[in-house]
Amino acid sequence: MTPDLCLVCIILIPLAATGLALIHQGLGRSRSAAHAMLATLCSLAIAAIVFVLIGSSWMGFSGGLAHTLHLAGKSIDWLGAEPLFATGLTSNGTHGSYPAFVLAFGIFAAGLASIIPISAGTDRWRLATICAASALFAAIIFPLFAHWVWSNGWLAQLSPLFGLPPFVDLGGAAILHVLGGLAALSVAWILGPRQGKYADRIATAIPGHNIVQVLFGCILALIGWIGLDCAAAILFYRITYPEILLTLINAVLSASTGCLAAVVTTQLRYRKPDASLSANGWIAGLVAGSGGCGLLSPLATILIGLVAGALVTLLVETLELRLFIDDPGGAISVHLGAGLWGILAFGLFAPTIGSRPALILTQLIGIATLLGVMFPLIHILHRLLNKLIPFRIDADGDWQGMDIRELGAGAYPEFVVHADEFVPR
Amino acid sequence: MHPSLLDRSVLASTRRSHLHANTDRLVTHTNQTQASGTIRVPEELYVILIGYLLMVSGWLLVVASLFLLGGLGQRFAFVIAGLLVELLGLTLIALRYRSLQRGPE
Repeated sequence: MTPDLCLVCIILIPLAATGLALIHQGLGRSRSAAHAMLATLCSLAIAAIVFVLIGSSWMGFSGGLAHTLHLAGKSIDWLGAEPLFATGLTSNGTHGSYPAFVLAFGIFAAGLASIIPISAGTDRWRLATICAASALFAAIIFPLFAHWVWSNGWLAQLSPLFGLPPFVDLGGAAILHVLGGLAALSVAWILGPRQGKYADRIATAIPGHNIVQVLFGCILALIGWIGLDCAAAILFYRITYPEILLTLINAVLSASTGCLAAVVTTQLRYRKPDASLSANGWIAGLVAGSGGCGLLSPLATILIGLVAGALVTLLVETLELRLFIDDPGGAISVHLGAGLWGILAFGLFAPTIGSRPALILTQLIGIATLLGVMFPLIHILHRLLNKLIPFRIDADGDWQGMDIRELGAGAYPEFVVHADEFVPR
Repeated sequence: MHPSLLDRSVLASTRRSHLHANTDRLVTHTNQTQASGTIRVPEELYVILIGYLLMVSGWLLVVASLFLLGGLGQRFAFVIAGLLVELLGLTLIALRYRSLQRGPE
């Protein structure tokens, strides 16, 4: 491991969260802009605290303590068993500073993943429940799957257990983005669409209020993503300098091709390039590229980015017009759709010395686990939480905007906000 | 008030009441999941529960193939079958939520 470089990369990760926060609030309405930013900040704060206190114990690290399940003569490593409250961090002489690095990375990674659903709940998700959902995410959902893949859990041990290659997720396409995207889907279903979105059963366009911030957020996200991809790959896959540089190159390539694919797709479909969908294409490229960032060739990454950018524009339209899912920031399409493509693409394009079908099979097993175990878990937890504290703001709050209703003041007090700006005329 | 402004005000208030009604329906739907004893809750839960069960069953099919089968082709077939069962469950949940969010015909 290259500790100094890893530390620098970890420090860059908050820029990815900043970028996503700007994108979320820019694609929402002006009357909920301050709420979206504060929700992101609170979510990051809660995720950091809860991950240190509980999540880090259950995530564990490779070579650390773990709970195992003995089944059919095989030992299935399914959950970390490190001491709670990160108390084992200072007394861990065997593994040196590695557990501390994993903890530092996990704080930011759990925070980044926990802010993804805010995008789908923009303009109607209450702050208290955003905090509670972030706590659940950082305590249970993220550590569980991160342990399976990054801490030598059963998905990383498919080779000794079942004679298959291990499931690989270098930059967190599955662990951060697909999990965050699944949480976003669950939140969007529970909350229902925004007021006026499907008036008279016709989808109404509710444009984002600040596309400049959205595009600026894309640039910040790129810097953060490079840090995220490199840090994860250094920590969990021990990549070396040439692969670290390849990770950087691939991140730029995947974002660029994702954005350009979205520009061309929207130009062809709507006769003009759409700025918000192009921003979504940029992030989708980053998400898809992070699945195999340091191991894929630049040519393969270009192809992955192109598919991700085109895919996201189609997914946004399908979710909004056919499935009646109101996702203002496009989190489900970007993080879930492109994340799943990134995982599969690793199986298709990664260099392998063994059998290619076996690698694809392994990646499919990872996808099946995300859909078959993690999504029901996330959705059941969200529904239970919704029973305790209702997710959605009441009708008056929906009308007034989250800033006035929950914070008592708007983000832009000197702006004149038209109450019926989104109603079709 | 100027007549044209009055017209706009009436129009805005009509729109607002329409939107309030729409949101009330959404909030009611959301809150119905919280209240026990309402008529719609069991039906909604049953369909979603079946969706969950299908998704978990799909995953169990995938895991069973790992434990019980040795050949790559056989495992591949079972994993694809498991994924299809999961997608069926997800589709069921998606259609249920879609009908809730669109409201009655």
